[in-house]
Amino acid sequence: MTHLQESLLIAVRDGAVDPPTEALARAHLATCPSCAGDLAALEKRGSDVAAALETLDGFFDAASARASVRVRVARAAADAVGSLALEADGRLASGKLSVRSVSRRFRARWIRAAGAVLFLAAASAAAALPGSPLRRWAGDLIEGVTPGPAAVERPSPAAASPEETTGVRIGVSEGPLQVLLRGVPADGEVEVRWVSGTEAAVFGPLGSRFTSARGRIEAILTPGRVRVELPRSVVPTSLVVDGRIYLSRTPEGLTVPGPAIREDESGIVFRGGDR
Amino acid sequence: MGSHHDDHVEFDTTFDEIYPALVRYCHRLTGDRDVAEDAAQEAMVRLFTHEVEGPIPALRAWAFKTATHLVRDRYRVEENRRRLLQVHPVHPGQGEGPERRVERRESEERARAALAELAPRDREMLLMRYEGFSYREIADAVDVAATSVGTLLARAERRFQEVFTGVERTA
Ligand SMILES: [Zn+2]
Repeated sequence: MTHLQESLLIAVRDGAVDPPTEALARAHLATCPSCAGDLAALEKRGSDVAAALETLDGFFDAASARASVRVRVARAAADAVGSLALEADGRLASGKLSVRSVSRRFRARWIRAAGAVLFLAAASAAAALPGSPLRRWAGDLIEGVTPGPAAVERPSPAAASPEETTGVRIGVSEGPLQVLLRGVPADGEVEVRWVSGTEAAVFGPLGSRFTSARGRIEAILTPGRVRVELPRSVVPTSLVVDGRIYLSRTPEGLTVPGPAIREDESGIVFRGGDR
Repeated sequence: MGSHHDDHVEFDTTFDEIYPALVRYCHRLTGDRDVAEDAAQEAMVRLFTHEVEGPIPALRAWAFKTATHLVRDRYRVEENRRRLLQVHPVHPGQGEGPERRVERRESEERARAALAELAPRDREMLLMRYEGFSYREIADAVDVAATSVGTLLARAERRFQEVFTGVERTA
């Protein structure tokens, strides 16, 4: 009688053989004390090896690893979006990144889930293309971001001209919406525009930092022009600049306690903080 | 809006289902905490930024395969063995102090030495097996025929046990 080889016995032990082979092996094992003994020894060896390997294990902090991975995924997304914006603006001549290739590489749902805080290099360039798939895709990507434990900060691109802006855009289908700005100088201006649709956005000079969560954008701005886009249809909406309520829109109407310079149908321009 | 919440939960649960075992595997594989965390986190970043689709077990297998290759690329065979032995030098019978601690420490050193004794691919296969992967998944991760996994695993496990228990045979 041919005995079972160790390689087959170990596969039987590990449940790694197909059913017909297993049936044959079991039939043999039932009648062969030698092979049955070998299998028992392999089972013992398996638990000994498992125990030996466990002595190597230490504690690893999964929560901080998760936060770190989240930030890196968000950064990868920000890089992709930044590249797209630059490309749209004609600054990236290579044309290697297309909307399609980037959206293939980066699944929007993972990136949203990662709490991506996106810094759109040359976002104004992208935003200037209202009908483009780029803008639509970027909007999709950022919609509904939730913050990770660690906010992402990205240094501004080195070769930036003062004209360039950076920003963040979120989707808000219903209120409340809160926009909090910090670092607006007294001689600076904050331009608020009422927009149709369900997206809110803040744009500021390069070097500004943004975080966003559902229904909330926070920006720490470097000196320069600031533009805020607020959807007309979303209430309640509030804009707070350096701790002061500048405007609030509720179902009852709009109140503007902030230092408005101009106001018309399309929006309001404010002075910066009095500090 | 609900879907965003689901996405968020999905990121966390996916991470939590894969990472703890992955970093443990990388640590067993390399004997180095920093390298283990680097490789495991890099594999997770790639999982989330590449288009990897499928149920958790498939994502898990993908992450282990990726981490295995990352570790392989970073450490060439001889360098790895030398380093493993340096990090955990084997001094049988050394040390006094609380009996159990010494026992565990010795056991850890012998396990480390036994792993270092294996060829890299055998080590990967053995460790993946003890993370519960199927022979097919192991075969795919280390690029061998599925039909030879049993033979290779049997050999790796036997060798590990020989060195670990100190029952050496002439190889
Ligand atoms: Zn037999």
